[in-house]
Amino acid sequence: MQLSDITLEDIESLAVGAWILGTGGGGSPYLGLLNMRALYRDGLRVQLMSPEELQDDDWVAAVSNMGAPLVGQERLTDSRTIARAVALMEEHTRHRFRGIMALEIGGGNSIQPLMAAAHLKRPVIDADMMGRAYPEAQMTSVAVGDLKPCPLTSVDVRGLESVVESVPTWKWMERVSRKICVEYGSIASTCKAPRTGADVKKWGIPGTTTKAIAIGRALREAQRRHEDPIAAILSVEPGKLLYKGKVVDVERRATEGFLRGRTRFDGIDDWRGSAMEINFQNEWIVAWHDGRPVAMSPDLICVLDSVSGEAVGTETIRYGQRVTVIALPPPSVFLSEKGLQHVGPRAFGYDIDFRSVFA
Amino acid sequence: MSVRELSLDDIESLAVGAWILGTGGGGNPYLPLLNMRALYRDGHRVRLVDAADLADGDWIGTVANMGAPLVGQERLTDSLTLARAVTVMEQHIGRRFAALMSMEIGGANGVRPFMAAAHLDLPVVDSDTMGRAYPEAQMTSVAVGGLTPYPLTAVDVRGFESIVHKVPTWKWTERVARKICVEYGSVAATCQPPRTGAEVKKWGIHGTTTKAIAIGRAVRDAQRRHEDPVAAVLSVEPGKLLYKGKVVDVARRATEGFLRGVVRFDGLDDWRGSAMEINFQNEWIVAYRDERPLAMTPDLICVLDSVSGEAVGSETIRYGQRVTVIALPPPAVFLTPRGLDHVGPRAFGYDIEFRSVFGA
Repeated sequence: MQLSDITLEDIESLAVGAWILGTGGGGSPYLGLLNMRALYRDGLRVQLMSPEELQDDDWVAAVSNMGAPLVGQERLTDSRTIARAVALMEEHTRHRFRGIMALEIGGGNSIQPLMAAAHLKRPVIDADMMGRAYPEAQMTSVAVGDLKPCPLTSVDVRGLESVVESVPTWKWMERVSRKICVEYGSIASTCKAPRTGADVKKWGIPGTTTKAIAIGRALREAQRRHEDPIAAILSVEPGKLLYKGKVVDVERRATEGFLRGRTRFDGIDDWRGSAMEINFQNEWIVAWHDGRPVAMSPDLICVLDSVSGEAVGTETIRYGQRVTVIALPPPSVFLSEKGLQHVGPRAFGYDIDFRSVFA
Repeated sequence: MSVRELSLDDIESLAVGAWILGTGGGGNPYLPLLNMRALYRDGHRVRLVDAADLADGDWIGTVANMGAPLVGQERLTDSLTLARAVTVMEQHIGRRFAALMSMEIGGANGVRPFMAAAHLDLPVVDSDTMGRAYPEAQMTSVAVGGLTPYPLTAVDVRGFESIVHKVPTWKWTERVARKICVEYGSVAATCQPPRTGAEVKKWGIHGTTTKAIAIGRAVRDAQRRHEDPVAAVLSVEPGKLLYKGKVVDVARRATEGFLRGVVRFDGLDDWRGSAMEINFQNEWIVAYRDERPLAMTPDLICVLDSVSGEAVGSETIRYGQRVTVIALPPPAVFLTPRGLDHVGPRAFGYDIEFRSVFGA
């Protein structure tokens, strides 16, 4: 059994890399990082396990925080709460989990499995179900694979605990669990439908924790050496530089539990005189260059601070920021016809055919 | 162990009696009665058992529908859905129930445990946790007793199943379960927190199914004999006649998941020239006679059709109806200081001291 130790230095890199893979959403990993620093100071350690090491009949927990990132700024993440969501799922299903994995590697939810793993002494599985961040429960590889959407456990720091035991579809899972979360106060720690080792090997998106750490490490090293951090990202990922500019307008509105809006840029350097506009629903969804769609979901659109190279989120982007827009290739599961039904531009209400920047 | 099988005629009486004990709320038992007729036609039978015959270590499933009675008129209650709420609870806690019980005897929920019991072949305990109907989860004898407020299962006819596994208080059970129910479409079949035989013996309100059947039978017998059905109710229950009149005004609004409002009556017969007003939140809460509070929760205020003697609900009462208002005595558990904290007039926002119509 091959398990590798995750160092605190790895987690610092994970926080930076996961925020980039969040494509504007998923929430900043900063508070999760603070939790992990405290846990490591207390002597707890976490290990990483490749999904290939799982037995077919092992059970794996998939975890995430659900709710409004804004609320998460006030009701801070407690690492024991996500561990409790996993423990409750074990009590309810009477399975013992072999490992714990992220629902989404993008943003703060990349750290949640590490917090649960530290308390429960299980390895973190090096895989997720989005390869990025997405706003809704049906936007995962396991939903594309039509795996079972239930049960789900939902836990809160004050000891509120609920189980969504059965729903007919992933969209209904989204609806019922969202209402429970809202009644808790718009933030809940959740353990998603348990997956077998065979499920994870077939439908998981492998290697994404390692990938996020590598991106973060490349970026942090470039920062230390005062080199171009964006070039560093593109040296470890087969991405594509799309645009450099500055933010000239942001329209943002919180509707139906989502942060929707658009941001506009004026080009600088090679892009002087050319405009870009990006529409978002928590995450960056479609980027338009001079009125023509140039990049769209499921391709990862990453808006980075041109100086630090770190990600800029849809909730924090503001007038005057100098940014660089890059695209990273999506997990192949989302490029199938069924994958595009779940996460292509039409799933977000844009009547355009998906065209990859990597085509 | 004394177990007796209920006849379909008992259940017809139960539907009439439970609607009277509903004190205006709890929903009309008519649809559950139709379910029971169909189940009996298919050969199912249900049995009633006394709480005293339970073993202390038995586990009892408490059954109720949750939601807006109005929605229940369109999304009809399926007996299999109620049974499923019980089965999900058994699977979740890993225990089998020895019997089922009503959460509230008042209204439709007085009949629903029998719908589940018919499928699961379990007896129903002749007890409930309200002795009437009340709108909220913390308004029960088991909440007054400080018993554990979780877990709760909520199930829907389309196959939705959720479990409120843990909450700090009964008010939180109400809050979380209510939101799940609303997302389902404002009606859910629930199995309330499981109780042991010892808990039911100590905190249950006993004999309430038998009582509802006796009230219903008295009303139906009087109807058949063309005698006064209201007098018949008072012949089997130590109640008190408060008022006769006709409805002159109804102000009704659906707010925060409840039906709230006020009904005004002009007096008839001995009460000519005297006005009554009753405030409601699903159930009749406070009755004012000539602007002075006359009867209030936890006393049962029952508004009956003066001709048929059957209950009139807060959602169906309308201008011009001739009604008789009676009071029935409440379960003793609600007369303690802690009981009154849960269901006295102040629990419904009325700043008045409880005074029973049955008091000295």
